[in-house]
Amino acid sequence: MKGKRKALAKDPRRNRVFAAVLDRAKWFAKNPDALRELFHEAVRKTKSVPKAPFKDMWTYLQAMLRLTRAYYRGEYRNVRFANLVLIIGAIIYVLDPWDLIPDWIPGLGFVDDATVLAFAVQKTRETLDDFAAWETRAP
Amino acid sequence: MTLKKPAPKRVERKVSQPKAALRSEAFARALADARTHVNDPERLRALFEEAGRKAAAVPKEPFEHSWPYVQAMLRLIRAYFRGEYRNVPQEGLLWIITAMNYFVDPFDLIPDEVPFLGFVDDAAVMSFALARTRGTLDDFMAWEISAF
Repeated sequence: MKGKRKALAKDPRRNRVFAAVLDRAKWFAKNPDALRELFHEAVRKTKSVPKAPFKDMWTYLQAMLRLTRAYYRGEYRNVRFANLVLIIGAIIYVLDPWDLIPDWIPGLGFVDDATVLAFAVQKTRETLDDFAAWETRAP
Repeated sequence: MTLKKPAPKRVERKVSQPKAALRSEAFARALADARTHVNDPERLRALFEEAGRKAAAVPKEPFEHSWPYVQAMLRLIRAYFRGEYRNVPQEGLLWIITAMNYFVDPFDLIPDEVPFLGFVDDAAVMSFALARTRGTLDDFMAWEISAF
């Protein structure tokens, strides 16, 4: 049991809710207009989500949001599709725009927001750092 | 008081003490420069450009979790000298500019060309500045995604 929980913590993609979120994220990744709406809703939610549990990861969540904006605007495209999906997925899961994710369903076993974000950051840190470097060199 | 020997002059070559960087001449220089140039947009622009170039070239590892904040400091400096963003307490701005001055200085406590260790002192100065400006930087990043 302990091993199983550990595996879950390691790869939140095994979680059903997050897997569903990633499916949605794929669709958003292909639809810049929808992605723009998602971005604005997510930004609105950042004001009400407590930052403390995320610690330094919060900075990366901000970078994910800025990358998403630069992506749908077509300013920045230097990101692999799989990473973009993971970034959008983390935004949807953590910030839950439009409150699409049900608060509590028995037996679903939610993964902690901070775990999902940490996982996404671990996978996309290089992409996010590259993006931040581009930001300071862009006009 | 478990120090085995009195601190020798060469202590500047030791890395384990983050405070050594803050006591260094290079830091004092960086702070003095920051005080002089904090309200000089042209100097800030030059600093931004130099630090941005350097940030793209240096190893990120020594900076660990501070790295995304280092980038945020750069963007804040740019937004500031451009006059786009002014919601920065003067003291916070001073620490950020000091840290960047230190960062661009190749001859700081541990010269930047020293393999593996060259940026350990820069990272210590960054996390010192970050500890004093985290709220300012978080506010700035919140503004970045809300503005435009």
